[in-house]
Amino acid sequence: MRALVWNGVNDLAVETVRDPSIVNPHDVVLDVTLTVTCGSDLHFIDGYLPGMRRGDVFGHEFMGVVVEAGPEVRNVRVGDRVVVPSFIGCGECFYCRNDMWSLCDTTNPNAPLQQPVLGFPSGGIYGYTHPFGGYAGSHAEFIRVPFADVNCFPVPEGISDAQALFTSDAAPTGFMGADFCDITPGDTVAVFGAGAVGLMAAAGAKLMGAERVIVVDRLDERLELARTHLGAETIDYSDTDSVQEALRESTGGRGPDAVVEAVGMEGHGTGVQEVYDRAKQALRMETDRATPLREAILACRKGGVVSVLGVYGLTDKFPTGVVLNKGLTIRSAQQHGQRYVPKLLQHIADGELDTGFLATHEMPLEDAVRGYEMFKEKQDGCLRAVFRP
Amino acid sequence: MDVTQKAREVVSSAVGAASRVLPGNRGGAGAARQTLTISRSAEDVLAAWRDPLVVSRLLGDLGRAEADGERWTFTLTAGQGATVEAEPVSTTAGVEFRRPGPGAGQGQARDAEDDTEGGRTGPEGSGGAVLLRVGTRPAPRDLGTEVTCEVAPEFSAGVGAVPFTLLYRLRALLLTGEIPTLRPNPSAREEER
Repeated sequence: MRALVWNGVNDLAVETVRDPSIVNPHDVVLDVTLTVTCGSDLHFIDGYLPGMRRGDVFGHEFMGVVVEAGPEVRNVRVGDRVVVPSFIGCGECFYCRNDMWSLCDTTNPNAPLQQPVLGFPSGGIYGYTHPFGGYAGSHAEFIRVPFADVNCFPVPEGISDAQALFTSDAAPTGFMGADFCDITPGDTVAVFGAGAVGLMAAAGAKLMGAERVIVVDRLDERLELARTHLGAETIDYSDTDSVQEALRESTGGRGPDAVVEAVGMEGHGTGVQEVYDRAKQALRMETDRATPLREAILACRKGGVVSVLGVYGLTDKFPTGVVLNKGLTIRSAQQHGQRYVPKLLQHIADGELDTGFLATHEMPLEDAVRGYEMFKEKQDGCLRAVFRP
Repeated sequence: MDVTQKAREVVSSAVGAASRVLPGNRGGAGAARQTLTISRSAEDVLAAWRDPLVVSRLLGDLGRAEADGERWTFTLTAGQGATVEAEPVSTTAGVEFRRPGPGAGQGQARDAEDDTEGGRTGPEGSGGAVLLRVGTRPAPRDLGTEVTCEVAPEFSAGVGAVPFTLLYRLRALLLTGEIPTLRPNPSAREEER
């Protein structure tokens, strides 16, 4: 089959690889119908996140049609059109049973690689470095999905592929981030980052009852999406002396009740701190440019919640004292997609949620290298590039 | 204090700090012993360790186990195919695979100490006779069984990850019936095309 592979830092190619097959009895193989870029891929493409090997098939946000099922698969059948969360759950361990699917205790074949860094390894994920499992990713014609009964969600009639696709990762991640904020009616939620995850966090916050949602970014076309599709207020941080002050002033001096950080380790900023972080990251003296995370902590009101969705490594200069003295609650996780996908599909079916506008560009898988270039460089207003294998 | 002296102190301090956190120096990542909680009974856990086919699946890339009656043969990858003979010996709440020699073949480990909760603590190494030791004790709050695994250096040059690997695979197998695996796994590497 054809697949997009990582051959080194900033070195991608579409190549021919072997087809996946049923390995374990709870597996299915999907014919991938749509698969999409994700900002977290850029971290290993750019060489900041270690653990990839030359030739790895990557991609983790996708949907498809079941073409083969293992002998112990019960809830999914050949021919089903399904969407699959990016983290692989087993449905049986303590964490899956407690709805914390990305923390699954059994699905990471390379857990011993991750244990020394995390203490306790995460679950496996498709196409996202070997410490995170080493599974082949979704930017391919076919993909093997373990534990299909708990990881495949049939897409109801009436929901298009383009709408369902983003319930694989961007939408559940964003909704989880909003969920972490414990929103009550009348709350103000700020969202740092107007990528697909940030926009879905803003959508989630609205649906969960936030009175005001304020999205912060520097790209006007993305802020425009937040205004037009979600009814959010926006701040262009590149045109603002201080995001903290802007947020404080617009909330009567109180600050937002919660802040969602949806940027991650390659965030941008302004001023001396930005230069310092860039230099230190380039020299591999730190893994992260954590300006948005620090800003989120500073901007949140006292006693508020900072919900961290951005992917980080080992951040230094983390303002622990600010967290302490402001009494903040920090909540974070890789997405527990299986908790949210059914609700998200229902929201889409009910007309309460639109995810289709996230797909700004669509192209054949053969053009995926160009798609990632557009996505990375944010060319032509690219928010997400969707590939059709 | 001159600059050179200060620099020496800083370097010495950094080296000291590094040495304290290196694997094996604190009994952490480098230790050849690991405990995981598995939400299954001790009987299920120990039955797995009594089955050479299951033990071979747990070993995976680390080697394989075969049994001829009570005499087991471990073929370990780290030993480049060398075999190690061992005999399973029951303890109060576990099993030890002991190499032939004094004390082996008694059916019950003589150097095991029972703790107050029905679990087991044992002296390190037992004179080097123990190749692999598995102990169990009840986990609190109905979480199942706390399973401790210790392995001898023959399993790997860097044995720290081996007990964790074995227990992670055991937990996966007992909970799901599967051990997560990547073979075969599509990639553009020559060996996997």
